[in-house]
Amino acid sequence: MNPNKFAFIICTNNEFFLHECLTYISLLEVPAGYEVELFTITEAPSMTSGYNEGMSSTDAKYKIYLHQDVFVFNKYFLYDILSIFQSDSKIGMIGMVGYPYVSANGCMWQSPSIAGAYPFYGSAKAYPHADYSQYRYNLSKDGLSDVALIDGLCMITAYDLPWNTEELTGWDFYDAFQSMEFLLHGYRVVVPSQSLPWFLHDDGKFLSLWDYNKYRQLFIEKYRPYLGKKYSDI
Amino acid sequence: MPSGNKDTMTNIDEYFEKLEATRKDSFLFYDFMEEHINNCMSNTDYDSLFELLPYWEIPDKSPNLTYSADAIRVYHILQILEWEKKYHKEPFVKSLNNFAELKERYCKTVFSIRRLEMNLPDNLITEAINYLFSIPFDIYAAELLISIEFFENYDQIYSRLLQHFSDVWSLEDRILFNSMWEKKSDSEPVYLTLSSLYMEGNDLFSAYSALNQIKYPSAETVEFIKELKEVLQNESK
Repeated sequence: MNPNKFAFIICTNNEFFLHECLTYISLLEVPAGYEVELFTITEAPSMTSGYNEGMSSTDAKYKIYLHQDVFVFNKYFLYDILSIFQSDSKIGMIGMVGYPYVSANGCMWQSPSIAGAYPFYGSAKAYPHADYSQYRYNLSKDGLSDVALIDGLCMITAYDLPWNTEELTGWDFYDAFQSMEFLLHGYRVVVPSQSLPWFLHDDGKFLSLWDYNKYRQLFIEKYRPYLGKKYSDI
Repeated sequence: MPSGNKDTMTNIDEYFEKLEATRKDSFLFYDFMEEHINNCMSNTDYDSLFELLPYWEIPDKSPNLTYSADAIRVYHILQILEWEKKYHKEPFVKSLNNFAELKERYCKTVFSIRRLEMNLPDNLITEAINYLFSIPFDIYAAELLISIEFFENYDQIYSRLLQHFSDVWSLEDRILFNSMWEKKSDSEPVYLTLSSLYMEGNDLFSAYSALNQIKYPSAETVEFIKELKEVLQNESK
């Protein structure tokens, strides 16, 4: 495993979304001595199989599993995730939006969230608008929150755990399953406090939930003892 | 769309049962929508696109479209086309051949505006502006997208569009666009830009009035207001 390497792993089915996503990645500042790899997986049969393919293709220690419709605004993003991982070797995974509790009904978006993705859901629009070019995250000042689950829009890992391809054959719930596995393996899952959001998730403001319920039932069955529990109780 | 608020959805199983009940109709509608758009585009029959509007606007006619970002984007495009038809502008969808191209134009336009908002490096801004120049992009398309997509820094977006499109959009349109900006922000740049537009049309009185709407003008602007006032006083003598 190369500790001086980051790998972006993106499953894609849309060329122009991917192009824009990569445009923002190309603007990121790379810490001295580190390198960045990109893996775009097309025609993956499922998110988990695509992510496993990406995971096995790179020796990068730090893997950034990203949706194609996510655009990184925080140009010091790589510095910031490095500072978080280096602060505690027990931190296994970082997300941008997280949930301290495992929702009793399995739907993570039905429990209180720690939100950092642009825009801050439900909050008033900030004015005057902040200058993103001046934004710097500071771990000791801004801090982070431990969570039970993170949203799949961006999942950053420092350790490899296989994605569950056996049960997750679609595009839902891979994030909740993977969060649970990291916790059950003894790792911390965290979300940095973002005074300005690090990302935009341009998902058209709507979720495709047609197959969500099928995987929700699987989640409930598999992780039943942990439903309704806080991250610290898992 | 499901809400993150616990209280708004107490019975999640019931919710998913209802969702499942709409699956067939929703997927059928999506196919119908795609085919209809493909036909309209291949025949350059943009008016027939409006036949889709009732599916969003009449509740009884609506399949469950809230789980398709594509369907929502189509609705936004129809809203743009309604404005453009009313104000005799070239349709935003002009020269497109099919549904796939329509989705691409919509998303690339949003991406281009976002590059302006986020103040990306010059080469990427140039690429974005060149894209917007290459399509029928008028103040109505701009306004609708700014209003309904994920944007926050209105001052940056409106001021940069007005700057880049100064030779493309008419003075009348730019003043109207500025008034749309004014509805979202009452910052100094809104009125400074409005004032400069009035001055471009040699309407110094309106330019002066615009500047006087600034709640907390900078020292430089206060000085400019004084100068303009003197000019107007001298003209009236």
